[in-house]
Amino acid sequence: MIKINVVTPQGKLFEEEAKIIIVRNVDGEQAIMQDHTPVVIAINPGYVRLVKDDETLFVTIVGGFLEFSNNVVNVVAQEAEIGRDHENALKHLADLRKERLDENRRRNIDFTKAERELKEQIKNINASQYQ
Amino acid sequence: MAGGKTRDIKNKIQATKKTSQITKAMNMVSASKLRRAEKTMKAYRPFLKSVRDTISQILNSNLDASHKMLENRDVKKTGYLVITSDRGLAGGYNNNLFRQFKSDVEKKHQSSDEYVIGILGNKGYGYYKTKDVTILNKNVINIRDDVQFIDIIDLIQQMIDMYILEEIDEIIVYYNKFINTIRQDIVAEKILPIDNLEGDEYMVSYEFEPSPQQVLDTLLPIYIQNVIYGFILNAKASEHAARMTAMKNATDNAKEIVDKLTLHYNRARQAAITQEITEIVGGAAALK
Repeated sequence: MIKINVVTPQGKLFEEEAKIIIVRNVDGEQAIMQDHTPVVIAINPGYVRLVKDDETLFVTIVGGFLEFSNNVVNVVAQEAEIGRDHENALKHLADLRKERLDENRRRNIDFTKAERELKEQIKNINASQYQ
Repeated sequence: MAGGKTRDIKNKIQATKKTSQITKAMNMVSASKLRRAEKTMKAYRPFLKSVRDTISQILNSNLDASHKMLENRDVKKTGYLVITSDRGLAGGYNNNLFRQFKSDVEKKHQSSDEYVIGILGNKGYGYYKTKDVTILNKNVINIRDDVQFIDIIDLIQQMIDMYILEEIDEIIVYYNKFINTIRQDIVAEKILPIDNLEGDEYMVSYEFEPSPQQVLDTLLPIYIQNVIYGFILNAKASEHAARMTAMKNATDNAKEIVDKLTLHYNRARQAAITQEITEIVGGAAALK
């Protein structure tokens, strides 16, 4: 069995054991089984597929790398998503990104208004004498 | 009659009280956000360390490729990344940073052609937009309380690309470093070229897919991005701490003003009463 850790800046995504790990990057697919030589694989974008008994799990990755040594796989990813298929995940990640940027823009407008009001109020009573 | 005056004072007391309620609420909100930001920051440290360890392990193995991001070269142009906040009302959080940055840059450079800046945060963008500097990002890049990678990745990638194309020769990050709740220091940290990844020699000899060069091309930017993200989390904690202090000061000042105004109000009321009594007594005496 191979141990696999997937981490993203948001924290640890998961920790699991698998029999075969299949990595897909720009060059194509590559499988890693127990006692494989140590390997470092750049993934951008691509996925890591975990095979365990009858189950398969996809971890879709945008910007990341995989390091394998001593039967432990460390995956560091900037964005990652777990799912049962791969195509939707990439699209979902792109959607998330777009949604987030739109939301940021909206919030900016709302907040600037509210902030200006509060600033005005504080100025009126000279309460903020912070240097 | 002093009725107009007392009413004015009363209105002012009420307005001040209302504002102090808001500032007090903001103080408490910042306190709880600070707790959360501190927790995120601390949780991020082991992640960054593990990334760092992995990368230094790979670099110190049999990887036989050099990379621009690891090599020092003569600095002709500097890229700065300034991490500010989205929201104001945080005391001197942003202004101190601007001031420090300005004095450092003036010391180091003769003209504004010698550097470019990338700005994270709404406040910084608004500030530098009107100044005589080259800003890299065309739009505001938000640093929200729940800051995410997606928000910042484009700018960082752009700066890394510029570095690789030798348009800039180093990257320095300016941010407020969180020391504790009442102290945040402005620090400048050089992140590119990377020069502190040496470690022990490891015995592992790796295979590299697709190629050593391509692995490095992916690995090093990821490391830089993660380091910057760590700085942002730190700056975020500083921001909440600064706002907490500023809002506490505002609340205290408001309370002082309310006390003073209450005194004035009572005095004015007493004066009115005294005057009325004097008038009545005077009137009664005149009737005798």
